[in-house]
Amino acid sequence: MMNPVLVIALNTFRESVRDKVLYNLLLFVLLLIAASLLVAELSLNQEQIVIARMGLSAMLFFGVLIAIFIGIGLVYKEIDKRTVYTILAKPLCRYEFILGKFFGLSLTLLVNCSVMLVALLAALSVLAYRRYANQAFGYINFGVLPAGLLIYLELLMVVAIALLFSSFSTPVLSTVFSVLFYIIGSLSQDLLVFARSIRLVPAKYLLIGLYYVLPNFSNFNYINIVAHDFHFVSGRKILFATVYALLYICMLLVLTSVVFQKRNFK
Amino acid sequence: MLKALLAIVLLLGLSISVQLKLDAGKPPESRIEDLLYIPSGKTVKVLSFGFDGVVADFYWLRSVQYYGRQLLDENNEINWNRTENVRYDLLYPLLDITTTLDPHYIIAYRFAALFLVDYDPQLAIKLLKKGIEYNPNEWRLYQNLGTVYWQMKDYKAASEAFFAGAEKPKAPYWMKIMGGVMLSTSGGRATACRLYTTFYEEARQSNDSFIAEQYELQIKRIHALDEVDYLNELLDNYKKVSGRCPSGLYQLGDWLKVPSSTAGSCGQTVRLNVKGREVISPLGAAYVFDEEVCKVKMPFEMVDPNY
Amino acid sequence: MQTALKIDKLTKDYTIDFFGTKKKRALDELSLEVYEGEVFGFLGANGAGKTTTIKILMGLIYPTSGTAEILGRPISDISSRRDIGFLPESPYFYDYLTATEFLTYCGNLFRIEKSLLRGRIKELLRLVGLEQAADIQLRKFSKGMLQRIGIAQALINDPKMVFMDEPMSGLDPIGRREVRDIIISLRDRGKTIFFSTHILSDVEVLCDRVAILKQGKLAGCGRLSDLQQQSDTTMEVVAHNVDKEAVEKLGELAVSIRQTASGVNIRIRSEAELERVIQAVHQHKGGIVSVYPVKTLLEDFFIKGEKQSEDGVCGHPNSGS
Repeated sequence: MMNPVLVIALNTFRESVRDKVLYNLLLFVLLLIAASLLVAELSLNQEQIVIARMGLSAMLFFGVLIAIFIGIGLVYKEIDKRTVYTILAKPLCRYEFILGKFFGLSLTLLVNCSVMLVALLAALSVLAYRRYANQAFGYINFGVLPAGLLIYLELLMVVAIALLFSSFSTPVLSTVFSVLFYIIGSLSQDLLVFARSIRLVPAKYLLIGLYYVLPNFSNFNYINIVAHDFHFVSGRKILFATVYALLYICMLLVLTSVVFQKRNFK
Repeated sequence: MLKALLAIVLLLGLSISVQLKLDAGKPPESRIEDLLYIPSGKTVKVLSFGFDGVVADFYWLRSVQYYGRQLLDENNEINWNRTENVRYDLLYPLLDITTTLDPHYIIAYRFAALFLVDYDPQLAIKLLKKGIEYNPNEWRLYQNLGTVYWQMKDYKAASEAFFAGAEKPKAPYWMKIMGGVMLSTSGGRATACRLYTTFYEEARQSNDSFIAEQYELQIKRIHALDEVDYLNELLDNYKKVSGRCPSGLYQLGDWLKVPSSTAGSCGQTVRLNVKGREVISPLGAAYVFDEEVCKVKMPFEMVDPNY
Repeated sequence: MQTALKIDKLTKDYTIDFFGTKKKRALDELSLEVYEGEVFGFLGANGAGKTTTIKILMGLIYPTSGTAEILGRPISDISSRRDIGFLPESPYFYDYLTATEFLTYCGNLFRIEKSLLRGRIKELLRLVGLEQAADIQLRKFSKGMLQRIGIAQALINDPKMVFMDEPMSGLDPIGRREVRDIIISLRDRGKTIFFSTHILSDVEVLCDRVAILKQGKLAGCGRLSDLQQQSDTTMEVVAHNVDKEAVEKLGELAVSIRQTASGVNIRIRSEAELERVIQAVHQHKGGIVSVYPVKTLLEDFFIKGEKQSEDGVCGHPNSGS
C-alpha cells in the first residue's frame, strides 16, 4: 500500500516519461559529443573548462525548460482535461495532490540531471585520458558534481514556482510569470546593488525587501567558478544553499496548497 | 488557514536568515567577478537576442557601480586612496563588452581613458581606437587619446591625436592649442595642470559633472605632489639645522604653517593642511612619512611617473 | 431505511465578474435525502445545477451555505470518500495510461492491497466489457469506452454509494443500454446510486425516486409512481383518412392536433374524451391507427417548473415547504 503522494508522484513521473520529456537527454549527449570533438584542439585544461561549463549550462537550460513548461502543466492540465475531478473525489487531501505533482516532476528532473552528470563526467574523463593517459584522474573536473547538485536544487525551486502559478493562473500567464521569476531570481543580486546606490529611502528598502523575499538563484550558480577554479564548492556553501532551497520550496508548497485548497473546480 | 499562513511566514523568515548567512560568507562583489569569465563582447551580443542595448546599459552600470563603490569610503565619499581595492583586470573586459554591445557608448570609452590608463595604457588606447573607429566624429575621444599618449610621454602621438580631434565638428578651439603644447613641451606637472584645468572647465560648462569630477581629482593630485615636494624641502632644512631626521612631521612645528615661497605647478600657493600630528593631502588622506629615508610619500602607491 | 445522502439547504453562488460583486445563484437551498439501496434520479435541464450539486458533494467546489452528509459523514471529511464512487460528466482520463494502469492508479489512491486490486480490476473490466482493451492506452478509447472505464474506476473501491453525472450522455443506444444494465446490476448488489440526467426515459426505467431541479431550486421530488398517480394521464390517438371537417370537429375535443406522416395525431386530456374522439373519427369514415397513454408528468416539471405537492420524502423533514 502506497501513500497517495507517492502514487501521484510516480504517475506524474510516468506521464513525463511517456510524453517523451527525457528525449532531451539524447540532445544533450549529442551536444556533448559534438562539443568534445570540437574542443579537442584546445590547449592544456581549456577543454575541461569549456566542456564542464557547456555541460552544466546545458543541464541548467534544459532543466529550466522542463521545470517551467512541464511544471505549469502539472496542475493546469489536470484541471483543463478534468482529470482532477476523478482524482480529488478519491480519499486524498488536495495538498497531497500538490505534493505528489511536485515530487513527480522532481523525480523526472533527478533522472534527467543524473544522466546528464554521468554523461558529462564521462566526456571529461575521456578528454582527460586522451591527454594525460594514466595520470588522467587528477585532471578530471569533479567540481561538476557539487555544481550539478546545486543546479538540481535550483530546478526544484523553479518547479515549485511554476507549480504555484499553475495552481491559479492560465498556462500563458504562468509561463510568463515563471520565466520572469527565474530571470529576476537569477539577477536578484543586482537588486541589492541597485538598492545600495539609491538615495530614496522607501525605494531602497523596497528593493532590499524584494531581494530577500524573491528567490535567489545566485546561491546555486557555481558553473563558472567550478569550470575555472577547477575545485569543489565549499561544503558550507552547499549546506546553506541546500537549506535555503528546502525552506523556500516548503514555503512555496504551503502557499500552493493553500491556493489550491481554496479553488472551486467549476 | 491561519496555520498555513503562519507556516509560510515562518518558512520565508527562515529562508531569509539562511540567505543572510550565505551573503555573509562571500565578498560583496563576488558576482561581478563572474563577468570576467564571459569570454567576449561578441558572445554576449549573440546571447542577448536583440536586447544588446539593454545589456550594454546593464554592463555599463555594473562597471560604474563596481568601480565607483570600491572607491567610496565609510562616509560615501570618493576616496582616491582606495584604488588598491579595485580589480583593474576586470575593467577592460567589462568595458569591452559594453562597447561591443553598443559601439556608440562614448562614456564607456572615456571611462576607460580615465581609469584604465593607470593599469595598462595600451588597453586604454585599444578601447579608444575602437571608439574612434565606430565614432570617427567624436572629438572627445581624440582628446582622451591625446591625454593617454601624453601620460605615456609619447608627445608626438599625443600632438597628432589632439590635432586630429581639432578637425572634427564642434571641437573646441583649445584642441589645436593642446596639439601645439604637446609638440613644444616635454610634459611636466605644469603642462598637466594646464591640460586638466582646461578639460575640467570644459566638462563643467557642458554639465558633464562625472567627467569634471575626475579632472578635479587629477588637479588635486598635482596639488598633492607639489605639497610632497614642499614637505621634503622642509625635511631637508630640518636635517640641516638639527643634524637628524624628525621622528614625525609634527616636529617640523610652525614651519608647516608657513606657505611655500615658490608657486605650485598650477600657479597656486602651496599651503599645508595640518591636522593634529599629521598633514592631510587635498585628496583627504594623510601623507606618509618614511623616517628611514627621511622623505614624505603620497598617501597611496599609485603615483603617476609623469609628474 | 437508512439515509445514505442528506443534503440540507445547500446553496452555491458563483461570482460572475472579476471583483466578485455580481453573483449568480447556481443552487438555491437544495434539501433532499437519499436512502440506502435506492437508485435516485437527479433530473434537470442543462444548467439547472445538477453538476454543481454533485461537485459540491465530491468536494470539488465549496458551498456558499448549507451542509451535506454522505453515509453519515460530512462532505468535508475526506474519509467519507472511501465508500464513494464518482463518475464525472463526459469523463476524460490520463490518455497515456492503459486501462489496467489507470485502474491500478485509482486503486492505489484508495490504498487497496495489490493482490486484492488485481482481482478487482479484472472483475470490473469484465463488468464494463473492456476485458479486450485492458492493455490499450486510453488515448485510443472511444467515448463509450471512456464512459465504461469511468464506471470501472468509480467502482474500484467497491463503494457503498455511487455518484454518476450524466452517465448516459453522448452514448449510442447500445452504450446507453449497457450503462443501464450496469446500474441495475449495481442496485441488485445493494449499492446506492445517485445519478443526474436530463433524459427522462432513463429515469423511468431505472429510478426508485427522483428529484427535479429547475434553475437551482428543487421543483419536485418523490416516488415516480406516486408522482404519476397525482397527474391525469394524457392520451394520444393517431387516426388516418380524416377529412377537414373531421379535423375541425376533433379540434374542439383535443388539446392539440397535428398532421403527421402516419396520420392525424390527436392529443386529449383524459380517457373520458376517448370515446367521443373515436366516434368522431368513425363518423367521418376515418380509421384509428393507435391509442396510447402519455405520461406528461416529468415534461411538465421541465417546462413549467410546477412545484408538485410534497410528502416530505425528498425534502428535509425540517424544511417544511
